[in-house]
Amino acid sequence: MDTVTTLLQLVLSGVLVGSVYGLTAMGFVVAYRNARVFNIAYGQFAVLGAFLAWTFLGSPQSPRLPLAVAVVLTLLAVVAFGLAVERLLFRRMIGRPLFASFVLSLGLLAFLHGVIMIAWGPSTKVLAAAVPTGPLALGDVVVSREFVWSFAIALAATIGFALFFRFTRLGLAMRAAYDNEVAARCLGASASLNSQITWVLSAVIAAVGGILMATVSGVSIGLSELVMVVLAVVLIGGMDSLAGCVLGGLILAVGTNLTGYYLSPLLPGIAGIFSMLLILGVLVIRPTGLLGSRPIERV
Amino acid sequence: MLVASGLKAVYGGVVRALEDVSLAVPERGIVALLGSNGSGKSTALKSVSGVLKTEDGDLTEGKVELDGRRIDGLVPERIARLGVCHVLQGRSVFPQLTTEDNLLMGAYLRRDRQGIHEDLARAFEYFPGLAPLRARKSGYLSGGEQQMLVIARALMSRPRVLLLDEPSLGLAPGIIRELLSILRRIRDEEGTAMLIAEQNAVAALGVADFGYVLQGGRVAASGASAELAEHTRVASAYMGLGEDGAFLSRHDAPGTPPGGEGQQ
Amino acid sequence: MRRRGRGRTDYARDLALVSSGQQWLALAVLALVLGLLPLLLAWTGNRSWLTFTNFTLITIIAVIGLNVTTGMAGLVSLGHSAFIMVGGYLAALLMLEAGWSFWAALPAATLMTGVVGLVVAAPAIRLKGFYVAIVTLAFFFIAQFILRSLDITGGIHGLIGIPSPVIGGLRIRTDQHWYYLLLVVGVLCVLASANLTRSRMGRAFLAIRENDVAAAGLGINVPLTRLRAFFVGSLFAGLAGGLWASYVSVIRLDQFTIWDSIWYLGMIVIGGGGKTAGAVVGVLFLRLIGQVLHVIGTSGWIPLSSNLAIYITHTVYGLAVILFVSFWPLGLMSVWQKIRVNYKRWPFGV
Repeated sequence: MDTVTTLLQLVLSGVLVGSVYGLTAMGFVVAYRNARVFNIAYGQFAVLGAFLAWTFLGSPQSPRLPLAVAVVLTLLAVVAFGLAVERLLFRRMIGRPLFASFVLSLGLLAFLHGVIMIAWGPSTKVLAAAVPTGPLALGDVVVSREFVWSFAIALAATIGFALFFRFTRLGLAMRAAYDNEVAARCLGASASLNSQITWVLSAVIAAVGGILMATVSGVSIGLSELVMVVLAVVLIGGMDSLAGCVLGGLILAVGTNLTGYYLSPLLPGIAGIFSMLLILGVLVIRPTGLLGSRPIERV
Repeated sequence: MLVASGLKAVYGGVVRALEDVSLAVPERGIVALLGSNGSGKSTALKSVSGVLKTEDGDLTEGKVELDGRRIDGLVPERIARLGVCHVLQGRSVFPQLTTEDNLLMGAYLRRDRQGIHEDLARAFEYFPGLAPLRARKSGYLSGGEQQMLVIARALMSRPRVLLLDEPSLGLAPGIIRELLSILRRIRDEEGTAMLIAEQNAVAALGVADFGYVLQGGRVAASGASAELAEHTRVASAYMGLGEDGAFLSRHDAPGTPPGGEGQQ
Repeated sequence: MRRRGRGRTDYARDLALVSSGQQWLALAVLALVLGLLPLLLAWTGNRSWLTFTNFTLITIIAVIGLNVTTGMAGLVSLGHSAFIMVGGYLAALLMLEAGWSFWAALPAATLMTGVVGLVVAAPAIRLKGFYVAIVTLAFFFIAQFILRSLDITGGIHGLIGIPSPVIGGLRIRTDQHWYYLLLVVGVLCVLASANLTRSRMGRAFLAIRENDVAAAGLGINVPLTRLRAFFVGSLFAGLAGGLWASYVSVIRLDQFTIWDSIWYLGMIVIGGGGKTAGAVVGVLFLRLIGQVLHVIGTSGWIPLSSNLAIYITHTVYGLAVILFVSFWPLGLMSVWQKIRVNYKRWPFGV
């Protein structure tokens, strides 16, 4: 394979994976913006979604429910989970400092980790394919079909969100509440509805991201490391920017691919901490992230 | 229409902001709520609109009624739905949203597309200064423009009562005059009642029908605005003079220090 | 009506560490119990309790450090277990490669870990609180990566044969010996931390936790104070690490996980952030719960595979943190305070 094809291969697969990273990160940003919570348990949300999907869909060897039914059930379960998290945990945290809700999410991280492991065990399960699989050749470049489908789904979802926040009444209310919550309430926007939608969206997006990643790497607790990826994406792209998620995801995925291929021979394992280095780099140069809007208080 | 009786409000369980405040806003009335810093004007407004609870405040006594129905204790969004729109102190625009989006947000509770569209045009007619700023992020508007926007936004909800917290704060005198005349026009044409909390007594009384003067969380004086404007009680409430609190004769020239006979 | 409890009746009393006859008595009883603990534990017949106590003492030392950085100064550190790891490796290397004695290696490793803390803190001192958390998280992974990649640190196998200390000819070998050594070090750390709370630097930490801008307005150099908070916190962590390395005599990467960092934070919150006593209480609380779960799991009452026991421990710990943050955000110490205050004021309630 010549250099150009290799490069194209790396970039293309990076774009495909990066779009999933970006979508997943949006769920985190929604919670951060609208609920003002730094939810470090977000990775567990993704894992939970994937395991729920596996429970309903089954694996290729032993499939369970038909696709449509499984999708609906998973969606219902995830929505219920999001509502529960909002009602039982984070509604109480409204108005309390960021540190408090962060520590709460730490507790939630541990709790969910334990519960998921007890319920489903540590072994990796294969998710029955929800989308067609197998390699797809585009000229000299080969990509996996799942990735293309994931990309398409991620793209559709991203556009859906943009439209939601830009053009719907509810989306406008959520944007307004982020800017000035009390003023929005004085105009009739319900704080509890805002909170509920935020957490349901966050849980659903996490689940979608988890499921998409699971189609590739199987369903296991290891998926929770997705939160690291998400953190990297939002730090690069901006904690409160949905567009930044897209950008961050692409930069991270493509960058990791390129680093892995070109630099790994020289520094083994560099690809693993590439994301960390990228985070540190961005924090030093542009702390709010590439597309983040709120300035950080500098002392 | 809007009646508050015997309000006693406390912040954080310890800071007493209102001791015993009663006021009323009639249909189509413009009522001024005057007083110096810390006298309780903002708190009185927040007690009516439900914002008090969101700031760790509590109405320990008293009640607020809208058309005879009690609204104290409801969340702000419920009270907004009943037609009470509170314009917060300090130009509370949504900075990341454009001027137009701000206005549309004002119409959040409404479903009549056509009506909203018409009102949007009407808003730009009342506040022509805003029209060229339609697509600009409201965070970039000047102080005066933001204040106009906030009031226009409140009007988009077609409120029955408008609660305005220090609308003139930080604005140039010319703009204040313009703003207040627009408010009067709105009352005349739309029938919206208003409760305006203001430190700028002269300006407020110029546009209001009736006024209350708050001092230390209590109503120190009240009356028709013409009466209040002359009344030295207002001055004494501001400057903390007049320990005897006696009514002075109408024949004293305004500006005469009270208790002139007593001081030797 | 008779006065209940001891009020602080003068400034000297108020400032003193131990403020009344009653407290001296309580302290004496505690000292007695602690001194005789190994014998008391031996009486239960179960050896693991003394080992558990020793590990708990090491954890207390480490968490006292986190209490300075996070509890007092408000800088969330998710990398604390990495600092312990670094301290342990440094102490091990000094003893194994450079041939230093325990008594030289330990202080050196402690100090060096403190310096590492400065290096880690540097990028984030000017940023908002939780960006510090991100940096410390990144540090955890980078530290693991570095230690894994170097030959001298034994890669994933770590280092073995780390010597134990010798005091006046006697080698500290058994759990009993270690207990007394760790107890002494632990008490010194508690005293140092309590002292810090009452010192100028300690008050500066509390100030920046509450409000950076106001603190700056008082003339406190906020970035410098943050660096100091990390330095002190890492000192304790390094000390704990060095003690750990010698106690276990083996040090490996997989002994230090990100979960540990999370538990440490949980201990701070559960105990009550900012107070030394809170840190100790928080450690004891979670460790005891964990130990109880472990004993139940291994005793055969309820059939639990060891893995399941771990997961249940995670779940319970997580639940504990959630409950405390939700209902008693100021921790067990605040609950204790309420009880004390109510006791003194009874029947005039809160």
